[in-house]
Amino acid sequence: MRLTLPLKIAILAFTITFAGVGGVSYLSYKDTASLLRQQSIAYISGDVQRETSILAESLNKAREDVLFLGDAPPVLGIMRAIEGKGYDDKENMTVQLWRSRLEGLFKTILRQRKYYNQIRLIGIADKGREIVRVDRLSGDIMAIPQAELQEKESRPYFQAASGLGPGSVYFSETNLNYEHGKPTLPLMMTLRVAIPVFSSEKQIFGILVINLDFGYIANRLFSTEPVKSDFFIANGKGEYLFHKNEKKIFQFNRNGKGTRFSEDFPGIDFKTKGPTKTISNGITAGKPISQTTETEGITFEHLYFDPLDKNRFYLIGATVSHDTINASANAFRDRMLTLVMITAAVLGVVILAFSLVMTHPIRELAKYADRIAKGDENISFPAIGKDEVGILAKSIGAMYDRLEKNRNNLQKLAKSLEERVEQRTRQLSFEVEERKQTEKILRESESRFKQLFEKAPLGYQSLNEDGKFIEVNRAWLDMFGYNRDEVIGHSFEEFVIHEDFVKKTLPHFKETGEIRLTGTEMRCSDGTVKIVHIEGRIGYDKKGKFLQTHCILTDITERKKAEEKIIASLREKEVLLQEIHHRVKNNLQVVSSLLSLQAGTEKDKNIINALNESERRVRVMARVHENLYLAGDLANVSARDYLNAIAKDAKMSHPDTVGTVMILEDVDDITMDIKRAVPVGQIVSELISNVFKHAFPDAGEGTVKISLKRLNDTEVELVVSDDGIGLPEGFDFEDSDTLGLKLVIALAANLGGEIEVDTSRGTSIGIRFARGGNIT
Amino acid sequence: MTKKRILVVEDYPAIAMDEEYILKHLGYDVVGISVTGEDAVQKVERESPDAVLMDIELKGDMDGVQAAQEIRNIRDIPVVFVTARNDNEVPEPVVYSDGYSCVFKPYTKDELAEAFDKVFTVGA
Repeated sequence: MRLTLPLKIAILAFTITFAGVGGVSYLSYKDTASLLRQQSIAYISGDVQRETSILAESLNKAREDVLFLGDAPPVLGIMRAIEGKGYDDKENMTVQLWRSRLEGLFKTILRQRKYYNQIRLIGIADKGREIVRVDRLSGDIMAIPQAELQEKESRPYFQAASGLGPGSVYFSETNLNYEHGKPTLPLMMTLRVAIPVFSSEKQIFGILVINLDFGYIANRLFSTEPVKSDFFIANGKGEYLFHKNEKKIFQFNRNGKGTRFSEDFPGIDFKTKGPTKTISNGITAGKPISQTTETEGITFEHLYFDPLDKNRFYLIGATVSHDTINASANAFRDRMLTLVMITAAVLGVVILAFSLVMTHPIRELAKYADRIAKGDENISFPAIGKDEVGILAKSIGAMYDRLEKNRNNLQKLAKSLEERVEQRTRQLSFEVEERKQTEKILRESESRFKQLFEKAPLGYQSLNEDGKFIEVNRAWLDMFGYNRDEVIGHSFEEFVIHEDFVKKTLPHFKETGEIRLTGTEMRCSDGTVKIVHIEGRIGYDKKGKFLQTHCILTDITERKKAEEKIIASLREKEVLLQEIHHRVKNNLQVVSSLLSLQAGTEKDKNIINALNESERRVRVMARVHENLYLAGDLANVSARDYLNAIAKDAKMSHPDTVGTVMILEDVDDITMDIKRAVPVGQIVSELISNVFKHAFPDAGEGTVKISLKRLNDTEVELVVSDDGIGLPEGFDFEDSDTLGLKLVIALAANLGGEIEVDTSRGTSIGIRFARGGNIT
Repeated sequence: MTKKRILVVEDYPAIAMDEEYILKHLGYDVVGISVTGEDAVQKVERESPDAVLMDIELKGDMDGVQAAQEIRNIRDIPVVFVTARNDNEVPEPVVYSDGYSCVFKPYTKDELAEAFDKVFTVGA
């Protein structure tokens, strides 16, 4: 059988209750005897105190009543009537009338006080004869007829009370009632309370006496007490006046055993007074220390009823027996056991029911939890309640919903993640494949690089910060014929001739980050020298700090030698060219000098002019040659410098025109090759010479203008113009028989140009010709 | 007024003759023609000319500039160089120092006259 949670709680509650209450009860039972004794004594002590108070109250009422009656008008009236010889003048009342009134008053009081048996007014006169007497006989209250009234002069109470002063109250011993000298039957314990009554002359008149039925008082007192308590009342001598055991009541006169307190409890001093307290007017009570014996417990109180004699008191007490206590303890044990069983059972049932109710939401939750555990996804949490469990269920429901939502989201996310993973996996596969390809290419590249590094015809070297070798390739070693061990760790300076490499070049290299050294001589292992071209960069780490140098060395020894040969050859050619140039000029000078000498020997002016013209033409040739030579580029001659020199020469050839004819030059920055430069120079020289000879006769002033302009991308135009007298009338340029003009026409044709003659203002001869490949 | 006497140093005979012709035409006396520097130095010592027309490019071990310097060590007379070289090829002192002048081939009579006028004027 499966124990459910409510059943467990109920069993637990029953067990705890049974064990707890049972344990407590057992312990209580263990202490019950002494507790009960104490409890019983405490109870009976309280009862005794209460009974003492009631008894004191009864005595006090009697005292008050007797004092009241002492001043009552019928008493005063009857005294006046008796003193007035049977008539009360004051109230106009007879003795009989007052007797009736007093009897009525006594009857009223007796009806009110059930424990009063008798009220009497007893006179001093006539031997203490009773004046008014009302008795309670067998429950009836009746006035005693006068004939039956007795003389009480001999009675101790009469004597004691009549001897008192005004206001004093006499309490008698508690005795059996005697009538006519015999105790009344059934035995009646009587206590008499009396006061003296005084006449208007303050003479003792008699006494007022109230008889109290002590048995009635005692029975009434103890009738409400528990039967298991043994109550008693004793007088100041310890003689039992009232006892539960009737055999002990008023048996002290017979000297019977057990009739006195001291006989029953010889070890207890009953006269010892405890702290006293005033219960009522003049009546005080004192409680002695409660004492116990092994077999019983006892408590008692003192009630001092006679203020005049402190030895007169009532001893009011109670005892409780051991058996009584045990019986109570056993009864208590049985009650407790029953109570425990009932309580445990009831509590178990109640808690079972309560647990069933209380755990219902939890069990409901458990069912849902079980369904969740079994994977039921279609769960909707019901509203279980509004208490904590309901809140818990609601929270769990909300949590479950959120979890479900999160689970769905997670599933979606997982699906999305799976898709992304698949996609990424495909990408990665592709990337891996791509990387493999790249690595393969890299390996191949690295292999090629390694091969290139090792087998390249270029030497590679790397130096550290101190200029010492870190690495060189195979080509480097082959280039200079060293083994690797002879190089690595050695300073570069050891291999360089005439280089202060480490001190000067390396710092500069580091500073600029690059180097280019052409023509560095390096020492080979066989002692020969190789000239290398070094080109390098600095390698830095990620922080920009110097790491190493990377330099490529190219063996340019052969190239250098070839270059030197070429340079030497060139120099030789230049010298040769210079020599040729000098010789050409010298030869031209020789020709010029021969013509000059020839002219110097001729008489004919025409011949002389012809020779001079020839000499001039030779100089033009020399000028062309010189300009070409000076230009340093035989292919291109500067037109501006060239024509300037030609014009100058032409002018120098005609010194008679100096100061009168001015030559203006307007030449574009054009270069010409030698094929065009020579005819252009000759044309200009011929035309200027012609101008000087013919345009300005009689030393007239004039201007000659030489112009060479680009017309367009393909043509240039040479114009030589003057503001002279112009051509003779009818002069045909084309048909001229002068050598100069014929040369001009021939040279223009050589240039592929066309001659244009303009005589509108002076003479202007223009030749337009193609620029050609080398005219720029 | 006595004519200035000039020694012509030129290893090309035709040119030397032309120079002699021109100098005479310009009113100078030509004391002789030397074809080498060494000969020119001797002739200067012997003839004591007033000036020397010196070709820079000469046959023999001594060129015209060296010969001129030798001559100037003997006599402080002006020297007019003629040369087939270009302007940038002649030593600067030859062209720009006092007592020297230079004429570039092919020259004209006027250029030669101007050169002598210059050295004599500065020398005077």
